Amino acid sequence: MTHFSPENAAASTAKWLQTIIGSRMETEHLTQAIALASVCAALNPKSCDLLIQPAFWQAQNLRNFDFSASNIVNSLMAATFLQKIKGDLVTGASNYITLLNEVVPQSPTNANEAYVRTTLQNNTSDQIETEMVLDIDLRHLRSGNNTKLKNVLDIIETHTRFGTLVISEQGPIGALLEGSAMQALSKYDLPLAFRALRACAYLGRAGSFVCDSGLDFIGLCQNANGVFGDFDTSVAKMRRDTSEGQPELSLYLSISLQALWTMAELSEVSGRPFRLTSNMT
Amino acid sequence: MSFLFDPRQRQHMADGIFSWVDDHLEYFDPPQEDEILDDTPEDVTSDKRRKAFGELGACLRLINRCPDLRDREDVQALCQWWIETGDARQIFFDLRRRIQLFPLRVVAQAVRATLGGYDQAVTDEMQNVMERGVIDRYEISAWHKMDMKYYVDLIGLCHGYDTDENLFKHSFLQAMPTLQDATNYDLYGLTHLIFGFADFGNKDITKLVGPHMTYLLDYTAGALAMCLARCDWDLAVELMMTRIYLGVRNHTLDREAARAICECQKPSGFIPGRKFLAGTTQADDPMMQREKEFFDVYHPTLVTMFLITAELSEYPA
Repeated sequence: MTHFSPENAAASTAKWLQTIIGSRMETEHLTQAIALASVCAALNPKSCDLLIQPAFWQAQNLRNFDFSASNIVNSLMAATFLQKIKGDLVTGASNYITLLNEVVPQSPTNANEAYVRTTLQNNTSDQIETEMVLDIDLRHLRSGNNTKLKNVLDIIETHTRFGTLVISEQGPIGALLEGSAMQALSKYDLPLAFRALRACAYLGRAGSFVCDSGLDFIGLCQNANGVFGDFDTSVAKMRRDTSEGQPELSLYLSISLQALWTMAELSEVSGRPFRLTSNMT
Repeated sequence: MSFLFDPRQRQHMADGIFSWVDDHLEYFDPPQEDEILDDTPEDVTSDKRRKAFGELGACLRLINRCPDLRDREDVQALCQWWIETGDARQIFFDLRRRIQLFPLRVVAQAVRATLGGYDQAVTDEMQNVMERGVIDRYEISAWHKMDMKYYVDLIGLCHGYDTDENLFKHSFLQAMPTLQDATNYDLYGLTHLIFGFADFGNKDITKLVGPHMTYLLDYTAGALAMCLARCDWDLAVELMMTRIYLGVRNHTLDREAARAICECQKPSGFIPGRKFLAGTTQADDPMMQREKEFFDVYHPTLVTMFLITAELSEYPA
């Protein structure tokens, strides 16, 4: 049984966030940072006091913030977070959320739309059971092809509404998917591995041998400063190849968000599966 | 028993494999041992043809446990070819000094004890080598000790290898590398240890494994799924065999893996290896390509035959 807690990990990441928010950031980085703050706050509200203070974010001039500059999941995480902490930052965030509510169909057809609908719906943190059968070609999970794997992940995220719909046992899909997650981890493809692990959780595999192994991996790749991932070589290479300020910032923001999100989905909070989408607004 | 393949699928796979083996016998043919005279005997090392010949023999030994397979005409002809070729190539030539060939020769002698052509004088020479205090004293992993112990036990040699209980205790089977970091070498270590402990399904290892059974079942399931995800059919098949020997029957993951193996079999009958799938067996010269392809695909093809025998074998209650 794994001994890593998403609450403690979030508190540690929040401390790192506090050290980087003081300086002016590009829109893309700022969106990622706010999204990461939202995940930290969802996992550990008490230890993230500073992150949920409107004043903390004032220096970033968010009044004219362009939410559409980042990917839809990060942007929505950021917008719902800013709306939640209120202050005078809320207008742009509210407008963005209203816009998404209007343009995203009620019946999502892909993972991004499902993420928006599930987050905005947020009428319950309980999981709803359904008898749905996933229409997945199992060969895609034994093809060695990441594009096919991502299509499977899209289907799972869409149809389980990011794990808020509990579907019945789907044959070997979960077991095969665990293998895909381990394969991605073995290649150190963390975004793909973490996404696959979250999909395992949506299929009810949290607590399995492989998922616990994945959870341990994530816990052990958190650095002392709170960020996730062992990227010394990649970062040194980025610094060698670019003269811009902090090329690694985007990497650490993105991976840390993915890592905390995955830890949360693989863990239980108060004895129940934790679903980030049910805890964002 | 039949819990992986339906009989028609199995028949189709076996037909393909035996046909492919028959079409590639020249690569299974080992060197003429009594004509290799210019090397110091101690320096004569095993090569890929000797290895292929030995592994074909090991496969035929297990096939002999399954009447449905053993009685096929093509299998009987193949067994005959294997024994006659071994005789013709003098595979036990200079046995006491060609020490590096000893492991493969023990396998060959165990195969001959089952298929025919067994000569007690060869076993006596092997016992002489064992008593020189070398073979069973090399600093090697539990996996390689188990591989040797298994075959020297089959031909009744006295040796200094540890008991199965101690080998299990000192192996890595109780705490293996995390799945994502496990190398192919680690996973072959896992499969071969279980093959040996279980005598390819002839022994119930529940008691030997004891409280580690759940861990081994979880680990092998994760490893199998990981190998399927990377299309590593060779290791996937070995892991499926391992799980049969651990007592797994009718698991949805293993049945899906069996479907994958059926689907990946090529029309000529072989199962692709890692190099074939990576496209590195290509060569301008067709004969060179045929040879490169053979030495990549023969192992996954033979272990698939092992898997079929594992499914068809009778198991201890």
